[in-house]
Amino acid sequence: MVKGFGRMTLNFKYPFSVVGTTAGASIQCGDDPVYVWEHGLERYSKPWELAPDMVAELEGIEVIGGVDAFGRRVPIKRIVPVISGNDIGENISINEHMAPALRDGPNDPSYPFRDRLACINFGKALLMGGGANTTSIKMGPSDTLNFKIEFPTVAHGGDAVINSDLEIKAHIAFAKGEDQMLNALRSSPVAEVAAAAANNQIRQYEVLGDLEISDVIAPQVIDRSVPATMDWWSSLNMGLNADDPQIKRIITYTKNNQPTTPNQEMEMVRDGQYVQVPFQNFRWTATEKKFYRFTHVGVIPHGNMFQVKFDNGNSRYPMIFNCEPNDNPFVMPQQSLVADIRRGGPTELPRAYTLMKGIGSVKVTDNGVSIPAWAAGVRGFEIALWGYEYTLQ
Amino acid sequence: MAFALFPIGAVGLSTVEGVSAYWVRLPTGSKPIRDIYTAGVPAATDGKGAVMMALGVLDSLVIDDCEDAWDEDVPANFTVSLDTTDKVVGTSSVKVDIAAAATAGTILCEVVAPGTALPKFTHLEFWIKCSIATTAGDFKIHLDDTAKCAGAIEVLNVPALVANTWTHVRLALATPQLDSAIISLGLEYDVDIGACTVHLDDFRAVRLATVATPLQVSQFVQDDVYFALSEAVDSAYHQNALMLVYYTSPDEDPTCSN
Repeated sequence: MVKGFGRMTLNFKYPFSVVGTTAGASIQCGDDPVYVWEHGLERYSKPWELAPDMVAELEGIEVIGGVDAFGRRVPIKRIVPVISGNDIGENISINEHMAPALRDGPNDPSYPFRDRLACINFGKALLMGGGANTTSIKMGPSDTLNFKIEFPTVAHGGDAVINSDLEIKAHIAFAKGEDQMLNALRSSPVAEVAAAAANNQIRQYEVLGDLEISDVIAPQVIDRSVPATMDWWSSLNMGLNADDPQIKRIITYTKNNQPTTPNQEMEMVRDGQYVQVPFQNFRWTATEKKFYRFTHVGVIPHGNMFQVKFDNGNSRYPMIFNCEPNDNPFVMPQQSLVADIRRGGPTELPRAYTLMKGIGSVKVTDNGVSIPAWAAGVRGFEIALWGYEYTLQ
Repeated sequence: MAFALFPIGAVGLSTVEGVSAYWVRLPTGSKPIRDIYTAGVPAATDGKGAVMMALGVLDSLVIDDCEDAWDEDVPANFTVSLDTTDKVVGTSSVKVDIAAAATAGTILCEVVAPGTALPKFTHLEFWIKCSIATTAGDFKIHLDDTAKCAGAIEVLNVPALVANTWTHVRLALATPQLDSAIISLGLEYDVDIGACTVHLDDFRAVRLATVATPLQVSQFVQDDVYFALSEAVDSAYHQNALMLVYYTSPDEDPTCSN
């Protein structure tokens, strides 16, 4: 049996300059023979498939292009991994600004989600020494990987015609052969992972607490171990068969679908159509069982934007940040114009925005002049969040 | 300070970010605009805002101010008078009533200052209005160094005119090097278009050269490549135009936190 272990990149290529698409479309590799993935000399117009004795983790993706004739990034509603035909984008909605190419222009060492040359915006692989709480996307034997790209409608600010090439560079860690998998886990620098693997277990472990409310809510523990066999791989965090307790990655964004009322907070919720589509709802109810923690933020402000508040029902002192074009602490990894500078980002919050047994939401205030809603030819503001969803047993 | 230098054509009203204005887009690859001078019209040497460099009037010479009725040769079916109410420049214009019986090829002439020398000029400019719509070449302007436009040196087609609308016309002189002693200016009724009334005003030779004209920027889209001028740019009068724009880009904004 051929063994294997390491990291690899798969380039999913969507040459829209050859076969274009239109506003509102949803495209996957294989939808047309020109949409392919490439690795070495392999080139196929279908999903990538793991060998029957292989496990892998999707650590991250880079989105390269598309860029229109005027140097503006083509708006993307959502890029989401598709594992064995299942859209796993419950909390994953990556647009054109959120997953920069690591080699697009000057190398950007400040991008927080990288490990050497690998992009790890989903999470550093367990196989590569990632933490016991990692949310890399787990793929078990014979699983397949594809990517769905959805484009916004013109009414939501999308381009009517998409005819510039787009590429998704998928960073994958893999182990072929069960002993390779075990060796990797046993060699992990993470104590919980290595110790469990020594006992033929794969352990997922995280402690989640919030000092501000620790007197009423004790730190919560997520601790789940499964047998260290390939059959159990997809039941780990972000696998197709993941089970509670578990941690899910959140990478998503929101755009205002209504103009702001001057000097009043706009809560980014679907109720009232304040956001364009349901996944942009930025209001969370953390129950006894489900908690949230957001660590990084990126904003492309509108010229009339003033403030962003991370409201937290448990706190009298929610985090509030001035967020104007001239004073924007939350750097989006990519700007709309290719010629704009790379500023790093997203920005790590000074203190994680944690929701435990409470309601939280993101609210935006203008500078006294209304921020228009996104529409054809009109731009509002955009807020992206990186975080985690924790589900207890 | 970022700047962009790029050719532009006509700038008319367009809509950007839902706002109708005289928008100009920086060329592809330009850094976005964080800030740009909008407080007024800068001096061309201020190094801020927008400056247009285009062919413009460097100097001019009045050939006929149309303050007296043309009378060197008034052909049959032409009636010439002064109109002090319907004019563009000065106190009057020359009004020419052309009867239906007028024949094609007839020329109305006016004496101009003896020996008017035009070699240093490049174009002829004047105002004209006709009571009916015309097509290019229905009327022609003659410049001659012989009396009554007997053997015109310059024969220039008047462009199409909209009925009852004053039009400022700029025509390139064909052979300015030969126009060293112009003594007669003529209006030729070259095509029989029927009865009509023509008004003429302010004939002048002009010399065009590249002129730097500061423009007021009225607004811009922050962190984008659009800015709007306070007025339109007419490419017919600003030929070979280049726009030089000085602005601040996000990476050099001293107040920018990132």
